[in-house]
Amino acid sequence: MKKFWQLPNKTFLIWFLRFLFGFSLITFTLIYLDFFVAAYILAGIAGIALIYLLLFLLSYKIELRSKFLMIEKGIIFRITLLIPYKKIVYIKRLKTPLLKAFGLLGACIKTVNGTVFILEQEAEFISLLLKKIEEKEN
Amino acid sequence: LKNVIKMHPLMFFIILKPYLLFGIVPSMYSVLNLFNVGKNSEFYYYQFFVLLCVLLLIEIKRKSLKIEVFEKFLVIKKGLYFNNESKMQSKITALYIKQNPIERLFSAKTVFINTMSDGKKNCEFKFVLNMKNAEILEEFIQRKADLRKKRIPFLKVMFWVAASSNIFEGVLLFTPLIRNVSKLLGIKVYDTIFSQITDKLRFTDKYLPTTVNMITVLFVFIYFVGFLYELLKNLKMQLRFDEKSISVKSGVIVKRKTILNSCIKIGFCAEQSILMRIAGRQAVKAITGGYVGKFSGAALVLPSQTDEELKNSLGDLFADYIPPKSYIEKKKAIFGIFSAILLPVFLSLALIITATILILIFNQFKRFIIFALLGFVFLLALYVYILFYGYKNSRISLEKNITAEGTRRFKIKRMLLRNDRIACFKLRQNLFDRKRGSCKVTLTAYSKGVEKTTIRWINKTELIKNIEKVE
Repeated sequence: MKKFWQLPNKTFLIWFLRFLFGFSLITFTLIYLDFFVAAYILAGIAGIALIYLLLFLLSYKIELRSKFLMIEKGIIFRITLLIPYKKIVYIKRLKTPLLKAFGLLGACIKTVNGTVFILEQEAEFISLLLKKIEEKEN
Repeated sequence: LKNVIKMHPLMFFIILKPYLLFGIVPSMYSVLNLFNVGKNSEFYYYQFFVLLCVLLLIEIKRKSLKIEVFEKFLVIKKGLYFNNESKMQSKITALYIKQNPIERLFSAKTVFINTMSDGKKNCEFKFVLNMKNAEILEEFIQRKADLRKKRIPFLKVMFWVAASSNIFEGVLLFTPLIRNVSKLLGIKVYDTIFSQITDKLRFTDKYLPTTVNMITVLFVFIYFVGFLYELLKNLKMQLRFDEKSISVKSGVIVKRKTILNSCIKIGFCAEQSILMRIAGRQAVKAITGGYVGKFSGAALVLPSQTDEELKNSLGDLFADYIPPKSYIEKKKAIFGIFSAILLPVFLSLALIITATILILIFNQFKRFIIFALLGFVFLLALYVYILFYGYKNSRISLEKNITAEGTRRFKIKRMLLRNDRIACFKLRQNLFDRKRGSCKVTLTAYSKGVEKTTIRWINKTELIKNIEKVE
């Protein structure tokens, strides 16, 4: 059984598409309103943001340990979250038409400590996580 | 079914509160106009009718509210047509009871019930009950028959208040009060206060500038207001505890009581401000689940304890307490301090060079530049000292109980928890940490908003290994 999960390539593509959509929407609006300088500045910022996003997605790792779920993320400041399975209250599966088309699932883990979002993963991961929680419950 | 609790008439005003701004206040204008004979119109009658309907609905809502107390659970019922039932079993974490002088006059008490749910910034249920009914609820959480009592001496409370009185609470109380009163009376109160202070402190002007004197006096005054407020809030402190629950009663003008359910299973948190550290004392809070707002989740149980007193008291309160045998190593951490001060040191060097050049170019700003430079160096020294202080006083042990000691500026926070009460471990690593393999860990007890503590420069691999063993 796979224990160590990184983001699948499809997730990178989805985030790139989202980014492109948002960026083009703002840029075309700015060009339409004749704010060319702002559009150039925005393009520069977007370039940096895209690199940051790519690096962030690359750094995102999830590990299903025997007693807790471990999520690692971050480029400059690396954050590791260790959530015991027993403390997970429920898991909300997030499905959008775009995710459906790519066969991926997003998830929102509700713990006693708050909410943790899990970036788009294959459906297999969510079912494995559910199985782990169920094991611990029993 | 043991008891059915109905609401006190004062509950009407609690339900009325949300409608006050949009529903009641605009309608009051029409009510006032109804008495003015010349201005009567159909519109005013219509508004008056709406107001009456709203008030009637609120009264119906109040009447429909009831709590059913069973042997092992509570049922809260709301509404006449749309019935809303909440059944609560053992998930009630805290009960907060408050009685202000007006409520005392009508023999009522405000009761706040909190459960283990998270994230909310307001309490789950708020009721105004008569004294007898409030006691029934108290009895449901904490049976009075088997309780042990402990009175906290006045001097200990006073010391805690003096050492930890929050100056901002004073500001919060003092500033709006003065401003509103001065607005009402049309007096320039702040100008008067400032001129008075300046006049009185003229003799110190040769030692310190007037502004410094004025700020000092204001701060002392604000501190005094904060001190008095906290003292009145915590006077006559009394503890009552058994094996499953603990309650704290305090207050003179407004009487307060917090009952924490099963808090002994959850844990304790000892806080030490710099003044308390000098005196070798610490304040201990009992912590439980649920959100920690103004009202519950944590309650101060032992205001000022020496280490030895604490050891004895913990034996009573925390039955499972076993002192830690060893702590997780933080050998490499000393380098963390050097890496952390690297950037400020470079910055200060750059500043010194700039200052020297500035002194050479503009001869007249010499005093100001030296003053600013000295201030910066002082801040840097303080920062370095805080880092060393944090290194010296932070440690973690993950054995049968979790013992964590962390610092925040000069405040030390010790947490004592059963290992299954940790909701989340958050490890944070910067670039230097990643190179050394150390990390900064934040422990959160049970749920959102409940006491947290952060320990720096802990060996990450060893920490994860230990967490796996404990869990």
